[in-house]
Amino acid sequence: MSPLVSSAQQFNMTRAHKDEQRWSHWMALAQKGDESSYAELLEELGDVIAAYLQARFGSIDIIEDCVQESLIAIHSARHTYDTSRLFRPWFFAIVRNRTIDLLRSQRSYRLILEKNASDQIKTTGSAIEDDVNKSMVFAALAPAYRDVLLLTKVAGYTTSETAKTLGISENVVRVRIHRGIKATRKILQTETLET
Amino acid sequence: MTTPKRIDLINTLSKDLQPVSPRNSIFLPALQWFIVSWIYVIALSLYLGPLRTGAIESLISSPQFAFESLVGLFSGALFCLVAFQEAIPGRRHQWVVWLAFLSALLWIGCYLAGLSFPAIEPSWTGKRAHCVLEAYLYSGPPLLIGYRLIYRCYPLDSLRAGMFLGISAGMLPALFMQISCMYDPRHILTHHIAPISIIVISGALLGIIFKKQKRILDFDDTMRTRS
Repeated sequence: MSPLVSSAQQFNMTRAHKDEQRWSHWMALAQKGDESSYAELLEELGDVIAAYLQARFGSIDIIEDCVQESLIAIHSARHTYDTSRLFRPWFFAIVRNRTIDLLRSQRSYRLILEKNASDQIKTTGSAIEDDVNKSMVFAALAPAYRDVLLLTKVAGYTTSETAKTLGISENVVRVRIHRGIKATRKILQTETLET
Repeated sequence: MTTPKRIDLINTLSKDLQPVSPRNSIFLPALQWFIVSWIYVIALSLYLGPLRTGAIESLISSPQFAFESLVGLFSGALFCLVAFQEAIPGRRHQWVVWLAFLSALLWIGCYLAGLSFPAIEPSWTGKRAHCVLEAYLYSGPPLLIGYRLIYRCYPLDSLRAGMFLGISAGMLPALFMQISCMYDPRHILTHHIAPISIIVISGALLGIIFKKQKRILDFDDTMRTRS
């Protein structure tokens, strides 16, 4: 291992340790009702969630929704954090869960459509497509699942449109969505909690 | 980059922040639930009928009988722990889940082996007329109360939590029937252990209902904070 890589790893570990301590401390204060610490914590966590999802899914439209849903879930679950334990496992368990829930729900599709309609954005833009294709999660998925998830969850196709595009039945599309999300959950669960 | 919408959300969430009393312990509520449920099962069971004659003595005289009872108790306790683990985000230990399932398989295996090599002589002594119905009666309230306790925390996977609690709640009467109903491995498998599946389904349904309710509450929160 080169000294440069080694020192970079050392730096990341130190940073992660510092983050851990700071977040845990802020959450302990938030549990006592400290508004400013809580606002700072949520702001920092929001950026961390966005970076985490960006690295794993690319620039998909639902990232901001995932961030906000995760922040709301953290708010609802803040009484379950144990200050004597590590913050990251608790935090990332919530983020993963909200992300998978949002991916699974039909609401994500509707949100994409609504967002696209208001922003006049075409999600089929090649830059976004490349970015998404190269993202960690989509790259790790089997092609059959990746295609179906990209079409339904990123490009905003309906089940029947996806079925027609891929030349498969709607039932197969539904099964692949289900299995693809299950595989996504597994990928997110097995990785380390570094962002 | 923090978007204006996110800043609004953070301001709303942190405004008038109420102190919360942390509910992050697993062992204590799990232990409390397990003990209180056992007291309930024993009290109601004794109220509805006596113990089988010679059942307590069998625990001492037959090591196989004591072993299958202890394995069941251990497995039930593990499933209780696993269910309460689900209540706190990030607290799930997959090895405990595997251990719980392995112990449950060993427990069922004891009775399957007992079909050929019973721990004690099978007999109709102590047969309870409605042991299946009693099993539902004994496990229903602990299931409801247990799920309520779990729901007060933040179960990320309500379905799993409900199913695990269902297994644990279903095992309580199945185990107590070991000494309060007739002993015959075939009867135990069909009348005491098989009803656990219905309790597990009930637990899963409970999980789905609570999850829907939680989703509505979360959605209301989202709408309120975004408006």
